Amino acid sequence: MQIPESLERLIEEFSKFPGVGRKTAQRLAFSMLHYTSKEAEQLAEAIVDVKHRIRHCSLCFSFTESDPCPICEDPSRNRSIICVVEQPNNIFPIEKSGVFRGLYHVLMGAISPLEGIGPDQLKFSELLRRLEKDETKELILATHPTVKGEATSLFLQQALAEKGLKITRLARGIPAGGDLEYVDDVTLIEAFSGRQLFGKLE
Amino acid sequence: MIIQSLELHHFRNYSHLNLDFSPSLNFIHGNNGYGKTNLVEALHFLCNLESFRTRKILPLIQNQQDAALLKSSIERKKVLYSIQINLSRKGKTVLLNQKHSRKTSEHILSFFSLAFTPEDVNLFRSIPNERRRFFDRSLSFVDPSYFVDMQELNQILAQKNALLKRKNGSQIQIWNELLSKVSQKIAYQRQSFVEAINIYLTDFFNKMTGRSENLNLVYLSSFGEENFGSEVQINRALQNILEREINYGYSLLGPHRDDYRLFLNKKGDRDFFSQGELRITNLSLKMSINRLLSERYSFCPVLIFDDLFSELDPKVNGKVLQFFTELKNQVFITSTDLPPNLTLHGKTIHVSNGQHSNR
Ligand SMILES: [Zn+2]
Repeated sequence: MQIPESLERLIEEFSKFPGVGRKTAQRLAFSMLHYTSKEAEQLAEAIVDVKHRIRHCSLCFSFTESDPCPICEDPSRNRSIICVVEQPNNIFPIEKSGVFRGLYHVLMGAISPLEGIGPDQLKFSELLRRLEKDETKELILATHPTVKGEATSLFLQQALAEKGLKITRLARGIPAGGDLEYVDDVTLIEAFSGRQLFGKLE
Repeated sequence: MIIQSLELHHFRNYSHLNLDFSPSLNFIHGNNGYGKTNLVEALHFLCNLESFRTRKILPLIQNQQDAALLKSSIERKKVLYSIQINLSRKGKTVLLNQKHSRKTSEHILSFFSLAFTPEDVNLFRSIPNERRRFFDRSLSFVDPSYFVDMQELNQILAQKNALLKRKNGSQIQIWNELLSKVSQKIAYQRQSFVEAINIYLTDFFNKMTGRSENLNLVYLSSFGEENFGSEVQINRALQNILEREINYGYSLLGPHRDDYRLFLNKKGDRDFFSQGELRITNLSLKMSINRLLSERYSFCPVLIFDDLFSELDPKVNGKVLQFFTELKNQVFITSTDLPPNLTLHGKTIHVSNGQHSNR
């Protein structure tokens, strides 16, 4: 049987999702056929809503509906300490673990000359500006434990060495090559409490 | 580790082939050009995901066919694995226990065969790439963290080269620091591996030749003997060469420039070894690695000897055969004739033009 055009279109759209292959996309699309019109409209609305309402915080570049984001606005958070991450979704596991009560800064990527990404392509000058006026005393570098993440942390450490900040790197409890997203709470808490001063080569 | 069976479809000159093997000695004989080497090449490919004759896939596929299929049951530490490899113009796909294995590492960190072939005589005469490749493969098997370090090294080098290609020296320092760190780890592992091999090397050589000389494997770090142990000195060496690297547009110093050499007393391999010496030292090297694997890691790799007897000095043959009877490994030997004075405890497989018969 030939798949009707409208259904095929939906399958195509689903298979664009990360980690979704043709088979899963088909299963998702077929399950949609059991939705009532109302349910389908609600789903479509939710998708459009996310697109319209979610944007990046103009201070930390996290995802938010209001600008500045609730974390940047929260008076109970420790404003003297900023945790630097690569992507907005890296913030969620740290927040969930509750181990950290400071502010964040999302770089929106990591240094990678192969892909033409240097400090200028990242939210680095924005970080500099924040450090200039905020009362930041400590910077925690929580980039991924990948080659690109390590290079990014090294760069930040060297570029900010003269700023009189305490710069620390998350302890190596996180598996090499891993992603903060998949790290459990206990490991994260250990990584934060065991964070080390970024040392130079002796 | 024991290869229990082999099934081939359109691999080299084999249209279809089905064989069971002995867990000890397997003697494959037949006239030249009939496919003895192709058979052991398939076995080597199943263990290492590469041939010992070519880096290309296409020559492995039978003429006028689109794809080749290799299937095997392999026993490793009392667990039975089924392996299936499909070769096509697009490359290779590997199924381990009917599941697609995306990571090459999973496979090559589990299975391992050591091959001794006529081409081996060139290992210490050819470009350093081939030597590094051989030692990298063996070392990765011994220490999976070495494999991880090598992947990291390659990523760092690719990033650094991307900057050098653009003649951009400004951000090089961070990559050099990462490179220093991983280089020091890799150099240490390479040096330790060479030291471990040297424990057995001379003994093997003297036993098989009846000579009494000192055979020594030497690791040559591109950073120099006095520097490779220290991250700081490695970083300094990288600093010193940076200007030249920017001129060339690629990285000139690092573990990707290391080398290995053999010395017989004070005599260096490339220029002073005879053909026979190149062969027997190579055999000694592989047997030393085998011994290291079995003694330290309780692992017996599959051993492949392609056209062994025509390649060695007849005086040596007897000693080598004697030595085979002492091995715990599964062994595959190809030869045009059955050796006259060999009492076989194993299986004899006769090959004639893509066909075979068992005895
Ligand atoms: Zn914010």
